[in-house]
Amino acid sequence: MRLSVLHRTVYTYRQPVTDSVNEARLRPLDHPFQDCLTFDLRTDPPSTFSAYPDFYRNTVHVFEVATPHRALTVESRSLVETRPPPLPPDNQDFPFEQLKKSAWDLACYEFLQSTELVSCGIAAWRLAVDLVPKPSDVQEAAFALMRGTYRTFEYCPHSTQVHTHMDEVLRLRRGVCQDFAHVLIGLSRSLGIPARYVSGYLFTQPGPGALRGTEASHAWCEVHLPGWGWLGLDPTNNQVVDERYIRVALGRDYHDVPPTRGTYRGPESREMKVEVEVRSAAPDRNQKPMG
Amino acid sequence: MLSRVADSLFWLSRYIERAENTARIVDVNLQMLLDFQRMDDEKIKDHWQSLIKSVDEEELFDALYKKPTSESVTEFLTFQSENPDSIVSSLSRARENARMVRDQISTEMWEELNRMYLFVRSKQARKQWKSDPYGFYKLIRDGSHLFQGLTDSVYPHDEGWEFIQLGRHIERADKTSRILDVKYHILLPSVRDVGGAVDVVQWSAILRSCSAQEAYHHVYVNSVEPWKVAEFLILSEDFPRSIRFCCQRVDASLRRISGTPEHEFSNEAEKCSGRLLSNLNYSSMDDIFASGLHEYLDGIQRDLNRIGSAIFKTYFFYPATDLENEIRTQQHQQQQTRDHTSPATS
Amino acid sequence: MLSGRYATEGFFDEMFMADGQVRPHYRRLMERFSNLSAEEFLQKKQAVDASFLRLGITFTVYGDEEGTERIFPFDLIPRIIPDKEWRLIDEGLTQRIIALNMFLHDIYHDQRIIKEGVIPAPYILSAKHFRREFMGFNVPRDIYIHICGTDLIRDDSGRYLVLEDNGRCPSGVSYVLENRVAMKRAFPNFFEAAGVRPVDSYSSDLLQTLRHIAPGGKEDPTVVLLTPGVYNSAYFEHCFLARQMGIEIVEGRDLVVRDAKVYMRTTRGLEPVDVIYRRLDDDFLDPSVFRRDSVLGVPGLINAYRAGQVSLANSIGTGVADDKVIYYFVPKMIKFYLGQDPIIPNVDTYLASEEKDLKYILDHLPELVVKAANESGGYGMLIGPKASRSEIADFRKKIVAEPRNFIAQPTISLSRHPTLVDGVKAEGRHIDLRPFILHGDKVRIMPGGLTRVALRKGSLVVNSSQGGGSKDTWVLYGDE
Repeated sequence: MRLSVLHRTVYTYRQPVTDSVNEARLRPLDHPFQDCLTFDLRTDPPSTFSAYPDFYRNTVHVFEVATPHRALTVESRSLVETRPPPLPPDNQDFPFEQLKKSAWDLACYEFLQSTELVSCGIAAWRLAVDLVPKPSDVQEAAFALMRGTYRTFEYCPHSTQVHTHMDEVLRLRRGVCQDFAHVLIGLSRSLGIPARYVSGYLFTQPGPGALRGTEASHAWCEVHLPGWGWLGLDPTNNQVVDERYIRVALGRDYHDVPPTRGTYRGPESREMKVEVEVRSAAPDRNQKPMG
Repeated sequence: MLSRVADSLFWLSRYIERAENTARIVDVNLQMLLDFQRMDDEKIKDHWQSLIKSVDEEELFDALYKKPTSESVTEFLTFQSENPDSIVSSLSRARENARMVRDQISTEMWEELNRMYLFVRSKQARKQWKSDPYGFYKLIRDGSHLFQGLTDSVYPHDEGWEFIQLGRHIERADKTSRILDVKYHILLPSVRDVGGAVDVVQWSAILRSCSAQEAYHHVYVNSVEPWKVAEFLILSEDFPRSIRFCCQRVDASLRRISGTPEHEFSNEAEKCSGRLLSNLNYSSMDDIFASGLHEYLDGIQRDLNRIGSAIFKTYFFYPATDLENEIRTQQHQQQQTRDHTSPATS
Repeated sequence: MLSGRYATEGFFDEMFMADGQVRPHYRRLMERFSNLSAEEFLQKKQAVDASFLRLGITFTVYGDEEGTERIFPFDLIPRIIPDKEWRLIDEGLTQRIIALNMFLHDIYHDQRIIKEGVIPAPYILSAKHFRREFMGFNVPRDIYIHICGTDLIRDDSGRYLVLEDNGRCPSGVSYVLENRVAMKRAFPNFFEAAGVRPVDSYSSDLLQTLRHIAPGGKEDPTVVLLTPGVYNSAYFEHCFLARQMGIEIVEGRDLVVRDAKVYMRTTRGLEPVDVIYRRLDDDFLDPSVFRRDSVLGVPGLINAYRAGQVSLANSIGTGVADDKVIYYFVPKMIKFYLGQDPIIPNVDTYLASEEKDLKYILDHLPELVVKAANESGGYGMLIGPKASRSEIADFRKKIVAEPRNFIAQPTISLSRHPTLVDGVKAEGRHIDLRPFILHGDKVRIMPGGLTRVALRKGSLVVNSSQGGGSKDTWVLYGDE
């Protein structure tokens, strides 16, 4: 599937601000089931970018706007080719005992720990064993946790903040896709299943049957099946990740992968508008320029 | 030199000068009361009211005290930490600035300032202030002189030293103009009273608050006349507390800092200071009285403020900011704009 | 004063052998001191104390609103190290810093040491100061730790052991230099006769080390010292070193970043900065990357560092090596990277996160010293033999709750050194040694270091915040 993405964030400030230093994680990842064909990042006021790969191999762009400005626009456009990610064979079992090895594995260890916004403590564990009373197969358990998260929590825009901790979400029983992902991660980790956070975009046709999380950046998670690899699960929509999902960045939780993050000097009052457009960009058709 | 360091040296010096001047003013006003016979409460009140006015703190004073008395006003100007210009506040700020540049100033300078600071905050200071106010204010003055003397004799006369001079002379010029301006108010009602007994006392007091009595009599042998006192304190070329003298120093320091020759300017501060100085150089008392003494002094204070803020813009432009309240986190929330999302399917 | 009454009490004493004989390298000192009367000695001590206070050689005690400044108590009897011992220390520390640098480079690049099973991944990934942000980053000249303070102790047989490494912002070197000045003033003419190696080249060595890492090998780089500010306990040292090196001492607010270049704000405008000797922990360096609430840092500094426009000493992420769990692995690192045995061994260490070790630790708490993995300065520590029952019970809970955070070591009876008490009497007090290692164009170790002494009788804690003092440390040209 060829998809084009426009992602625009506009900050407006009451008074001019200066020394704005920011990091952006907006470039779609390259991996076996996804190619980022083109990527263009701009800001207004204009700035120059430097880029580096972070610990999880996400591309981070750094930019600064030092001079006084009243508004800052960060706009990225990307063209991505996605392919259906493979699914584990139907007949393959993933017995829980095999998870023990993951605990000492370089690739899994830190996706089993409590992190800044996710806790795999007692509260998560209780809910997890309610949903999966007798865990035996990792894949089955993960699906049950996804279903359980989807059913237990109410999808409710603006009910939480960007820094809302998963424990708070467990109390509220509602949240946005970020919170759904955090919950599923916490539940999985509490059972010993490595789970990581993915931020990206989801393409869906508008109208009835539209999926949640398509008009802004989306978030879901990936669980590790021992001996097989990472499987993407979207608890907000209760489905396995397919070719409509564009992966941009992954990490332990949201804190590792915010689309933009930074600091500036100036007064606190500020407004932010985010606009995301994901469109099908069939290679054989002339695409109208966006924006 | 780092802007922050220059900024701290400037203010360190300014605050010490401010403490000294406040001590002078309070001291002289206390002494003046002794010179008057038969002062009723109302007169005393008027006397102190004008002093509060000179520091632009009438509102604050009224909020803190019932009425102006010798005790309440001198307390306000000396120990009141709510009053940003009190001696205690000035010395605290001077010390705070010195701490920031502790590595730049000499141990002796730091020790002297620290000693003064610890003294004014001690119980002993209050005791002495009650029993012997003149002795108390003299200690403050002496402390400031010792500090300035140390600065001259142990601090390298480099760029930093020029910023110290700038702070000192801008503050001093400003205070001299205020001292004159206040008394001008008192004397205003009747110009005919000029030369009366009260008048002489008042104008002598002004000279005393600027330690200018002896110097004045060197120049004007006989009587104390308002006209001449004003001339001396505004236009004297060589008396170190006169406005003109201070402005000469300010101008010279500015030029030494930037290396700009006389009669030219390379920044706003030099432009303002050059203008003010030539105004003083080419003014006579006739001109000043013709335009109104009060207006004239007001103009000088405005010019000094302008020089101060131009120095700030030129050399310290990045203020010692309170980063804690200034640096904001910018983070972009997922799902922020989902206002109009249609309800999802199950 | 050092007469027959002095008793070694079964400890290893630096100056006296068990039979009461003076060790050869202390003989000259003994002679000189025997010629002094008690009064003379007391006079010298008072003169030294007074000069420390006057010069403001002080440290700030935390938890005191006014920021009380105290002098770090100084003991007049110097600690002496003969050449043959120093050579061992010098070689051992050189070996260690090279291995530590290779280790840091490895964990931020290929992670061979993890992949080859020498250090389990979780220990690195869970290290508090492991900086994921710097994975794959090439630090200037491949040097991570430029300035290191490694604490050494001697056990009851006089063997030197490494107690801990300080690879972030080790402090204390200003005391070494000031102690020497004070001693020279108190005992003029004695140093040459005694054959003591000088320490005064430290500042110029440090400056050379800092200049060595200038971006792009710049010829005449601008070096600055970044301090957290006047309220920091080591502010005196920051001023001292900046002045000695003749470089600017700056606070975060003095620096700005423009187009990934660092500048300082001066009265002449913005002036470029090339190398920053930062005495500020990673967390506070740049609020746009690390702690958002840091008011001490410089927004954009990390980006400039990453862009190679400015160099930092020490580099970012060196704190992993300070982690006491990682300390356990240093001998293995030396073997792994250098194929050598450690010249100076570690103290035996048990990791609470290893099941077998944990059991041993919990069974032997009253004999062991337990330390929090990421604390220093004598905080977060349990000395089993000196602890009360409730303190032990308290620590047991903490260890079980967070095993990754604790290690345990047998209680070492540190070597003792004659130390003045009550003015004129000398008694044995426990000591350690912090030499300072510079790693620039080459490894330079100042011949000497900070000898800290636990002034309280019987105490094993030498930290200044906990009643410790210091001694001048004399490294001799020869062995006598």
